[in-house]
Amino acid sequence: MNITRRGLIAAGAGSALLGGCVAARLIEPGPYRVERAFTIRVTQSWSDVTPLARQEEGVHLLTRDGPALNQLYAASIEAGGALAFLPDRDTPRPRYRADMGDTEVVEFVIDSIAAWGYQAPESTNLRPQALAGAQGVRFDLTTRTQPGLEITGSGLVARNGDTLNLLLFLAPSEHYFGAYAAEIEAIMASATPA
Amino acid sequence: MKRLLTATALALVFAASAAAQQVSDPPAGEQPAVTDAALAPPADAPPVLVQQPAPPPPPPAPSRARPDVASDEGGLWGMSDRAEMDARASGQLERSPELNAYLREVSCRVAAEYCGDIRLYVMNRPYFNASMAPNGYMEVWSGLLLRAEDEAQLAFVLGHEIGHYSESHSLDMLRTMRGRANAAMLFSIVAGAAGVGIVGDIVYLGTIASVFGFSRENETQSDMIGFDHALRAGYDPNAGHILWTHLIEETRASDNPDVRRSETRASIFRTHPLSSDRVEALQERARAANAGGETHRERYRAAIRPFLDDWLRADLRRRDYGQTSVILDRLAAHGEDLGIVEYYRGEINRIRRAEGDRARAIQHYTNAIAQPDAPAAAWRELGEYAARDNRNAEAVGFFTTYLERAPNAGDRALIEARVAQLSGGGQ
Repeated sequence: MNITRRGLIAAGAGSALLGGCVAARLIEPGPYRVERAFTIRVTQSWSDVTPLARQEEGVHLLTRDGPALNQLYAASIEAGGALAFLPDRDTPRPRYRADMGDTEVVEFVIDSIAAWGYQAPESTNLRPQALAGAQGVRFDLTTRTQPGLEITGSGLVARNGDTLNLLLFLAPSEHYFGAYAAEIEAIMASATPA
Repeated sequence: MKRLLTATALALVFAASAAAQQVSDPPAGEQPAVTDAALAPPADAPPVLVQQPAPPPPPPAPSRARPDVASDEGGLWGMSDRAEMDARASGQLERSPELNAYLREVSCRVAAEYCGDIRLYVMNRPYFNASMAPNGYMEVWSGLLLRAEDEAQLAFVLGHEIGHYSESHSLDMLRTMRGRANAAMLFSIVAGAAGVGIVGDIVYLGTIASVFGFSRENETQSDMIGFDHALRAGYDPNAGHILWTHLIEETRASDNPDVRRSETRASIFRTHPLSSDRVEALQERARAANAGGETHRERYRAAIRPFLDDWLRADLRRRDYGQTSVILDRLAAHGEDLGIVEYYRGEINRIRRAEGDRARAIQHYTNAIAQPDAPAAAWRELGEYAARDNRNAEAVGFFTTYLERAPNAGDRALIEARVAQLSGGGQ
């Protein structure tokens, strides 16, 4: 009986711990800090689902309707770090290097999207735009999921010393990208140094 | 690499277990006859003797009937039906009518007796693989097309896959597995996938299938069948052993020590483990054939040329620069497409950034822009290197040429801003 009780207590504690570890966090309208790098301001409620799927160091994943329908990556990546987490450590992945040029930084993001398994990602309309006061690059992108769903994206990247700050939004081209385009514009424009 | 193995395991399901739906679309390249009455001449018009093109022949009938859905073979067909439906909607499907028509033509030339059975799909996956399901659903991956040197090598691989199909190797494999532990559970999954009860799990089956694969005997037999098909169709009998040898060389050139150690057994040809005895058997057969045969290298290259840029970019994203270098060397062997080959050699060095790579990248980009087929991006990369070295006027020249050659470049605004900055004495 004692063993059963201890087992139950252990199971309960484990479940509680596990539950606490994997819960998504509600982000109310207001500021959201990305590491110690920059702060964005959201005008609607978002969910921080970073704990639900393992991410690389410094990478946060937010969503409104679930990651399958919209993903907002907010990241601050150190030199040598990656955007795309791949569970197989032997698989080479794109890594950020501090000496990358502007087009190479966008290439790093696009290659990371390919590493996630998206098909033939392509960037378009690269143009200068600031992120949290640092000169950066804004770009649009198109890709497809492996089952064939068309995806549209928008990214903003800027280097701050050896660190890369990044905002990247991905959503199905049909409805979801357009539905949040204005919110994403506002979020990108709201970024300030932390 | 595990991602590759998972993908390959799924592919094996097609070859090892599948079954298919009836496809009613016309084969690629064939158009339905125009029957609109409005196009007919008026009844009193004089007859016009215009030579009309002959209507395309109807697709030949399949060589085999659909098996009973309650049978084990029917289960495999049901599984293939589902896999084929997924392939037709896949984001990886290459829809180019020209490329699909070309591959279909080659497959029917290789095995005319199975032409009515084959429904071929080109998938944009940067690995060497092909598969054929029991229902005639065939996949050819872009990584295979990038690595084959000529039509004879492609014909050999298609003949090899048709060998698995004609000899029902996947059914043999299933029946062998049924005799092993837990096989009843496996069979229930297969039967379920056919729609006769339990809902099957193709991913799970794929994982299991990847463990077993075809037997060495199956592979050797398919090699010989592929060889015979290709030889009868007039292709070079050396194609098979040359292709297999190249694949082994590519694996040995991998940057990844695990890949090098595993040879081709767990790398680029996971479902078709290669071994030296298979190569030797094909060499022996080629010597005995003592026939010339055609490689049709030029027309094969013409068919894949429009895709080289996309396929090389996808291969580069694997970040196995040793293997990509081998592919580029092979593409350059006949002095063709040197602009794109040199550009991608430059890309390897630019991205890898190992010692000496910077100078090598600049040299390869410089070689590229001397060729008529150089991608415009070669000028942009030279501009970047020049700008970093504070050779601003030179950088502006490269960037300007880049924009002239790529007027719709996606990074035009960025490059224009860079030119303005460099012209103003920045950096």
